[in-house]
Formats: sequence, C-alpha cells, structure tokens
Amino acid sequence: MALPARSVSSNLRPHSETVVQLPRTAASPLILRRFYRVTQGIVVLLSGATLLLYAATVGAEVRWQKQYDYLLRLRQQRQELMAVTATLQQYLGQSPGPGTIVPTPAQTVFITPAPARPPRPLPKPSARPWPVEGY
Amino acid sequence: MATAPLRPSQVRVHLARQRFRLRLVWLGLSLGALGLAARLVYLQVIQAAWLREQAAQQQKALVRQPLPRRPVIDAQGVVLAVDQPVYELYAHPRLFKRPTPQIAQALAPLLNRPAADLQRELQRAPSGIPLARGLLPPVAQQIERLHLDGLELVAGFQRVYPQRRVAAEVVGYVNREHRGQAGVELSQEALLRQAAAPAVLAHDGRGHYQSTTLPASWLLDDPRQLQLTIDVRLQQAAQEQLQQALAKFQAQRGAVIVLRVQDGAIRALVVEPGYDPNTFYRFPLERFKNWAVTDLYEPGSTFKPINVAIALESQRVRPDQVFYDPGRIIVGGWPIQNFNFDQVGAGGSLTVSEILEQSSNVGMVRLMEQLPRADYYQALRRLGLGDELATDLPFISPTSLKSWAEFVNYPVEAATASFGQGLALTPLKLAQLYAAIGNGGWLVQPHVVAGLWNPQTHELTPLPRPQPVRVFSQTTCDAVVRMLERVVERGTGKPARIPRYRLGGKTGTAQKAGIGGYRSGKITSFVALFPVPKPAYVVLAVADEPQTANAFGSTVAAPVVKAVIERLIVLEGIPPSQPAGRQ
Repeated sequence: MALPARSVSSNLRPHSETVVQLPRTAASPLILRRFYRVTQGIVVLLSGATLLLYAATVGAEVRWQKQYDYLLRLRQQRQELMAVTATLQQYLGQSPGPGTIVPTPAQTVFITPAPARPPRPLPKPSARPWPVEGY
Repeated sequence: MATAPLRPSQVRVHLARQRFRLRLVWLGLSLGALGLAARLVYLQVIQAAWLREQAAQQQKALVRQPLPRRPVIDAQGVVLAVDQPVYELYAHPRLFKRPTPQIAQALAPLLNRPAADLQRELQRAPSGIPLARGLLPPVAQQIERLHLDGLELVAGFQRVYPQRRVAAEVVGYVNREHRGQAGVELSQEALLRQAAAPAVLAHDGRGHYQSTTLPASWLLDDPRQLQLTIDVRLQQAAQEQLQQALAKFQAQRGAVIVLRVQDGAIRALVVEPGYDPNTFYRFPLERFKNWAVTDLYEPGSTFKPINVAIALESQRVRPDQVFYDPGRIIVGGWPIQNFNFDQVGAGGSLTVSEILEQSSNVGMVRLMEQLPRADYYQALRRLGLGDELATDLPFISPTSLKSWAEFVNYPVEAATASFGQGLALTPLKLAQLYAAIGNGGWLVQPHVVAGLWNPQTHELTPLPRPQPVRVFSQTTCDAVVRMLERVVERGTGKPARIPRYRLGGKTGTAQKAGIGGYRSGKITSFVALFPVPKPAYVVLAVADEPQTANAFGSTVAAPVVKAVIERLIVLEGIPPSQPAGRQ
C-alpha cells in the first residue's frame, strides 16, 4: 500500500530562501500495486465465503432447530390428541343410560345368504348350416 | 508552535526524530503481534486439550430421548392406555427476582390453589420445592408466559387409562416411576417402553441441540401400539353382568373369561371387584391381583367333561357305555356321594352323557375307574396339570396335582379327581382345557397380546407363540361337545339356553379347600362352548363364595355366561344355528 507523503511543511514558509531537499517518495513499485489488487480481491472473496459459511452453519442450524422443536411439538400434540380422543370416546360410550338400547340376538336380523341358484341353461345356438339361405 | 523558519539542520533532526518514533511504533506493534502469536500457540497447542475438555463439559450432555410408553389398544383399536404429556413444576425461591407473595399470587389461579397456601409452601426451602405435578401442556404454557425466574417446568408423561375400570385387570397400571406393576403393563414392559439409547449431544447457550450430534434414530418415528386380543365392548358387558350377579348373590368376587378356541386369544377377562388404574393408590392391594390367572381353585363339576374326554381318548370307555350310580359309595374308606343323594338317592343306570347331565359324582368315579390310575395320572399331566400355564399375563402360578405316588396308591385321590376335587387349577387353565375340547384337541396358549400394530401401515407384527400340542382326537372332542350340549338342553345348564342357538356347557358348585380340609364356602362356576357343533368360544364365569341360599353354578354363573354369549353373538355377528320360527 502506498502511504501518502506527509507534509512536514507546517513550520516551513514557502517563501524561505533555502530550498530543502525533501525525501523523494518514489512511485510504489509495480509488484506492490499488483499485490494490492490481488489482496482486495481476496478480501471480497473471503467476506463472501464467510457470509456463505455463516448461512450454512449458523443459519441452517437455527432453521433446523426450529423444525426440530416443531417436530417435538407435533409429537406431543399427537399424544395429547390420542389421550383426549380416547377419554371423550369413553365418556360418550359409557354404560347405557336411559333411552339407549343394548342390541340382543332376538332383535338382530340375520339374513341367510340365498342358496346358490342353479346355472340358467343358455339357449344353445342351433346348429345351422351356413350360409343359411340366400346368397 | 514556532513561527520562525527552520534551519535545514533543524529539519534533519526533526525528520530523524520522526523516523525514530516510527520505528518505535513498529517495534511496539511487532512485539504486540508476537505476543498475540505466543498466546495463540499457548492456547491452541499447550492448553488445547484442557480447554477442549472444559468446552465439552459445558456444551455436551448425555441425553436420553424422552419417549412415551407405547399406547395399548384393544382388538378394535380402542385406546386402553396412553401417555399424556404433562409437566412438573418446581420452585427455587433462591432465584426469585420478584417478591414471593407476588409469585404466589400469579401462580394461584393456574394451579387452582389459594395464594396463601402457595406462599407458605414457597417459604419452606430455598430451592427444589415441588409445587405441582401432572400439569397439562396449556397450563404449563401459561406458567411459561409469566416469565418468572426461579420456576422450573420438567416435562414428562403420565399414563392415562381412558376406559377406567374396564379391562384394568388385563391392562394393569404403572406406578409413579412409570413402571408397569400389573397386567400387560408389567408383563410387556420391554415392548411398551421404547428404550432409546442415550446419546451425547452438544447444545448451544439456549439449550438447543446441535443437529450434527443428534442421532438420526431420534428423528424416526415408531408409532406402533401394543394391540390386545380383548374387545372392550365385550369386556364391559361381561363386567356389568358379573357385577349384577355378584351383588345379587352377595358373592365375594367373580371372574369371566371369554377365550377363542382356535388360537387361545382372550376376548374378555373380567375380575371383580376391580380397580381404576388412573387412581390405583386408592384401592386395596389385593385388587391388583388378577386371580383368574394366578389363584388356584378346585374346579369341581366343571372338570368332569375333561375327565370324560380323557376316558374317551383312552378308548377304555365308549360314549354310549352305561354305568350304575348307587348315589353313594365308599372309596378307600371315604364316602363319596352325589350332591343330590339326600333328596333323590341312587342315580340308577346312566350313560356317559347322562352322568354329565346330572353331574353325578359317583357316576364319574365309576367311569374313571375304567382307566388304570397311572394312565389317568399320565393323561392329567399331559394336559399340563402340575405345570405352569404359559401365558403373557404376569404372576402365573402352577396348577396343583397330587404326586404320582399319592395318586396311584390311594384310590380316593383318583376318585376325587374324577369329579374335579383334589386337584386345583386357575380359571384360565380350565378355559384352556375347554378350548382344547372345542378346537379338536389342541392345547393352545391363552394370550391377550395380539402384537404390535402400526396404525400408519396397518400392519400387525404378531408375537412368537409356542406351537399347540394335540391332546384329544377330533372324535373325542365331537362326542364331548355333544354331551355338553345335552347338559344345556336337558341338564343343569338349562339357564344358559339361548333361543335358536346351540351351545354346550357344564355347571360347577365346588366346596372350597382351605387349610386342613374343606370349608363351608363354595365356588360356583359355569363353562360354555359356543356355538355347537363347531365351537368358536369358551365362556367361563366363576363366582367365589356366594352367600345366598340358592347359589349354584346354574343360578349364579350360567345366567352371566348366557348374557355374555348374547353380547358376543351381536358383536361377532354369529348367525343362529336354527332358522327363525323353530325353538
């Protein structure tokens, strides 16, 4: 990096009769300028990589944790739902109160399957000579 | 600031000083960088192991996945037991940032307790005060939303038995540590507990686990439920009928078993008086014992058909053979008589079937005398008497049979065994023996667990079961079933008759054995095979020590069996044996 030449002239008057030979700052060598450009590129690349890495690790991790919590909550809710449904079913199907009827065999209609019908004989196609007539 | 112009020499000195300062800064920076590098090496290399260990201690923990116990369902999928997520609330007053009365005031409406009461409790200890257990998730969320420091909610599960007292004798219960104590909860503990191996997990500052350390198996779901063979509807009907009968005859206790003869699946198993597993701690200890599976009793007359089957199987007795029954005989110096000897005297000449119909003790003694006693003993042993009955319910006791020497050398032993006294078995064992008569002679294993049911794939993984052993031939079984049908049609089993249906059965009214002889108490029972001629179910009812005068197997147990079979007909859709119009 090229450092800016610092002015030493705050104490020096421009109209001084003596010309002071200031140390010459030679133009920075080409190689340093190249190096400067390359490092700039590297900085940009590294910053991008850091952001990507952050998104891939911390960001994804946070998302994963949210989803895992959601999974756990769903599992918990499934258990709750099962318990509540079962309790409700038991409550509704409790021992019959007045007005409910327990089915007995006497009230049950059993329909016996109809006996298999004998196969209906199909009218046999009469053996006719072909062609019948005509032609 | 000097205003005078500088001389060249002064400028040079000035520049030299600046250069010196610059070098000093350089040196400082370099030393700093070097120091940092040294520190880095020290931390990363020398102290690395120790620091890593420290970090692991803070971040990693051995965690066990909080898995609920598997639900238990009946054959129809009705839930019998399920885990409900609950929370326990602990208070640590040392960490309170707000005054205790204020916290008590905030918690009181959520915990349904007076604030003053809570405040008193909060002053009891500086830390670890259990305030409430069994808090449902909505309440726990409300407590969380209070954002109070010093309160801790610990998640867990509570076992809920939605059917309450129905099927409690089969399902059992879990204690406060969530361990099975009775029934299937105890015997199938290994299947019900979803044992998750503990894993070392890393977590961040907020307690979230790191995804990479979480075992993949924790994400998989095992929704399988333990399915039983029982039918809650039948179980409930049997329970109601038994309760009524026990109350009517003032009996001490009773049991009903419905067993499918083909595979030994228990469709209902009721023991009364029972208990509610949700509040097991309120019931006396003896209620938790499923005595239909664990307690021995002398079966009395209900064992006669088994003896007849043994005799027929030996081919020393023909089904149409006739035996003379004098009503009272002396065997080995001991008198043996029929239950109705005082009223009717001698029974006369009886066929095998009539012996069963009239439940003649003397007739049975005469019949079984046709077998050498050693053969008879051997046959009883083949049926598993004297052995433990293998089943999937806990606390099985071995059936009791006299020793070989006693049985063979004392004629009275074989004589009493022939009418079901002097040997003892559990009601479940008797049901198994009847099932063997019903299914063509196979000794099937009575069981309540059907297997693991996956509600997502609708697949049932059955549990391994021993191969059944054949003990009777089909001819023997058919003959005994015909005889049992006649007992219901014409004999002591009449109260169990159901119009248009054919069933066979046998009553039993046995004296109870106690220490040093028989006591005054009796045990009445009825066992039925249904439907005839191809039995599908054994239905057994036992009532222990009925107090009223007219208590017999036919009056106490047979009506219960009848009611249970009627319910079974409707639930299973069993068509009548005879068409309508004929009785």
